[in-house]
Amino acid sequence: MGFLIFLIVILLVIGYVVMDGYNRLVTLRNRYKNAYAQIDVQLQRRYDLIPNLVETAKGYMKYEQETLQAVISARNAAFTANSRAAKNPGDPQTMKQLDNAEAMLTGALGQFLAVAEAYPDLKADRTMTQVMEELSSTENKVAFARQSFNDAVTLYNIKRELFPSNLVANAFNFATAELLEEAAPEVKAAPRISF
Amino acid sequence: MNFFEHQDRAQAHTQKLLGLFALSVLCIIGLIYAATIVVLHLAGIGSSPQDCLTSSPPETATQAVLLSHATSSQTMPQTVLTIGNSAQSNSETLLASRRSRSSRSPSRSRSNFSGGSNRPTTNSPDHRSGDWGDGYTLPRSSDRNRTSTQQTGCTAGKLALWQPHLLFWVFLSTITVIGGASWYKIATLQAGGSVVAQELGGRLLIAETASPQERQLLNVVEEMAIAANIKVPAVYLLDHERGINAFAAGHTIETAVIGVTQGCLDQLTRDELQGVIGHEFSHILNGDMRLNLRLIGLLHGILFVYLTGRILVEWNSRDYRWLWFLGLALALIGSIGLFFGRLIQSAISRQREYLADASAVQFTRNPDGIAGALTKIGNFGSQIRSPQATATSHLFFGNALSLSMLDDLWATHPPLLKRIQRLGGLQGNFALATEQYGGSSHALSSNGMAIGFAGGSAGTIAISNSSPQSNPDLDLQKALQQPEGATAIVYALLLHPEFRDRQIEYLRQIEAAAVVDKTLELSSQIEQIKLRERLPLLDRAVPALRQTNVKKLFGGVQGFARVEGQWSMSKFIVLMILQQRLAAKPQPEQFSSLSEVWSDCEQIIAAIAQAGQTNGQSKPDAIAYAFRSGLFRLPGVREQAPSTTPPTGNFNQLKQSLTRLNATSPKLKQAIVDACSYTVLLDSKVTDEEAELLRAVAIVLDCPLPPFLEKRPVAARRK
Repeated sequence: MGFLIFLIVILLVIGYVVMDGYNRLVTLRNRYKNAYAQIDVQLQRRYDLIPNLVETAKGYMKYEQETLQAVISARNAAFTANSRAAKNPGDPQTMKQLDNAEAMLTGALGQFLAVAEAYPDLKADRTMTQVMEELSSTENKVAFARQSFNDAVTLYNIKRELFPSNLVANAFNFATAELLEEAAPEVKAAPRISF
Repeated sequence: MNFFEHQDRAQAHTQKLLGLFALSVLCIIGLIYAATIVVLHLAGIGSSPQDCLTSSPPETATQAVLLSHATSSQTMPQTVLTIGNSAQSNSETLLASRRSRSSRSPSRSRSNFSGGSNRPTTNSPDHRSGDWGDGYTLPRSSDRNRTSTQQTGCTAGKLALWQPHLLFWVFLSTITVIGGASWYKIATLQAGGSVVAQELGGRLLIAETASPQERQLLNVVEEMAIAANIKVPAVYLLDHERGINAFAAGHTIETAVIGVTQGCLDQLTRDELQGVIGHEFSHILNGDMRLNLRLIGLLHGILFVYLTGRILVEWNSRDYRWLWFLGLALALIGSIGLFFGRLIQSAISRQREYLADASAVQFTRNPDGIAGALTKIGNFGSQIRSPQATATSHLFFGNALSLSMLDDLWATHPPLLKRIQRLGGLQGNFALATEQYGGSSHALSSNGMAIGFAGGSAGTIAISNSSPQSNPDLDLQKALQQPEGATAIVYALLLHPEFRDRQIEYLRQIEAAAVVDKTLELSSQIEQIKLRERLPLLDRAVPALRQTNVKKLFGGVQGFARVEGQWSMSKFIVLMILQQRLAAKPQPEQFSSLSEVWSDCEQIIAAIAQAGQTNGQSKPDAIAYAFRSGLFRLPGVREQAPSTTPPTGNFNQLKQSLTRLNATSPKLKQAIVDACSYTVLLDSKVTDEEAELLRAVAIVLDCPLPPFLEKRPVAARRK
């Protein structure tokens, strides 16, 4: 009689542990999927914002036609790559192209921002200050969205590999999640600012 | 900074402290139990042996408890039911026992001892009414009674230390008292985050109507929300707070809001602001406000124990001195418990602050941001002055404990120095001589409503060896952002050493006293600024100047010149730039060919050539040479007849020329500016006067500044 009760208690404890582990894994998995979707939202915002910003800056930065051109063309390339990737999700080739295009765009924007810093006339103008703020903020948001995704994936993977929950994870087929790759090495160089 | 490790450590510490808190609550219960036993013993209950052997209701609650516990329900069908044993019910039952001793009614026993459940049983109706009818009402009047029992094993007069049943009831009732009071407190404190923010004087920021500074704040909050992976909370701005501080309020992620002081926006850079907001997001994400609220609720519950004791002490029980003792014991236990509870709560709060700092680094991946903000707080203070801040505190904490709060043990935030060290080191030449924590920020977080960024007023922190440049810069920066300050800067730039007093006198007549004072204040700092940097300063003042009476400003500048008796080039430049920036009317294009504006071009280039040679010796040859070379840079110069000597003119003519040139085509304007630049660079020397004039020309003609103007002055090359 006592043994039966003991057994029931043990089973209940095990059941609770399994349930808890499963629920936490599900929660963490959904969090990182949400974070991934957020990246796309920010990228779209960036695509929409860039043409307007460049137009506003054109009037002031007459000496910087090349930089502006680079930004616009990089933006268009990234936009097409993104649309193509949306049509074939998961295809590694298009994903790679998207990553490269995004990296080029980040580099071009970085160059643009650095160059704009050298124009105090530009900086004094109120509209342009706001425009620069929006641009910096958009870049930050894209970066933070990626960072947040990586953090969420890390938390999920940790939980997946810790002791009691790894048994649950294997039992219910929770796969390891992939972190976002870094930008292509040739674009990692900081933008050259020539005085 | 390895923030994950710091976060784990802070979480572990919090768990330990929470365990300590629970332990202390258990200790309180244990002490109450011990006190109950002692008091009962002292009250001499259980002294008459013959009561034990009769069938009358047992005199001592303790004896009855022993009996009912010792026998199981099967063997003793007439076993009495339990006796509630909180402090109150104890006294009630004892009261009942005294009364019922006199009126002995045969007792009926009920056999309903089922698994420890307590159904209130009564002897007889008259008992009930009689026992509790003398106005002895306590908040927890438990309706318990004892019925008679067949006694066996009555321990007459002996005090048993281990009485599990008593312990159980002490436990249960104390938990109920504490839990009930804390639940009540939590329910009353559970105002939504926006309510708290508004009480503190916050203004909700809306994206469409936000100023650029506020817009930046909103952007920063959005960025942190993305990094923390939660929804964007509402943002409130405390306009009238000059200290650097921020708070998070609201107990769930959905109702959370963030509040920021105006001082934050004014003093902090974007990175530092991001660090502060990240810190606040950590509070929201980790539920620190909810935790704080629960702790406060529990402390309120412990306070209730203390209050119960005090009620018992003050209730004039003539007959029952033991009540008084019990009350005293409860009050003592309650206050000690409150003391240690507050200590633990403060310790938990400090750990959560460390956790928040580490999480801020996780979100921003930049420890310098938050470290910089902390450094600035160390220099400038974080005190919240809003009177509503103290009003939202709950004064009874102050009344219950009349202990001084100015102690590190009670600080809700860790010391600034330690926080900066954990983030990875001190920045700049900043040293904290002394630290003191004011009371108002305590109040802010002591009621669990909002958790701030830095504790207390750092206003008494001594600043050590701040370099002379940094202080004026900050003064100027602050002045730049206000209309008054910006106006003062303009006037200070124009003060001439010789005519200073008359200029100030003139200024007093046209401008407000505040502006005049500010002008005098800033003039010494402005004098230290190099000539080359004065015009950029003017440019930076423009946004704030737009909000002032622009005509008055122009009039003031002209008045300064009148006082001096003549126009100087610098005044002229300043006036032209201000007019262009603040009152420029869109000019229709009137001239498109060089011939129409030829004389104006000559004027301008002559002025620039002149300006390049103003180091005491005017070499007319050099000026003429520069003049002609500059002219020849203009497109279509061959068709014109350049003068051999540069024309001289007064400022009025110069102004007219510039105005006319402003009405030419952009291409021509650009060409003119290029020619001017060439003139300036001709002798490989860029003097300050040349630079200023060139800059003014470029601004007035609405052309981009030639890049070399921003570089440092080129060292003079000897010819």
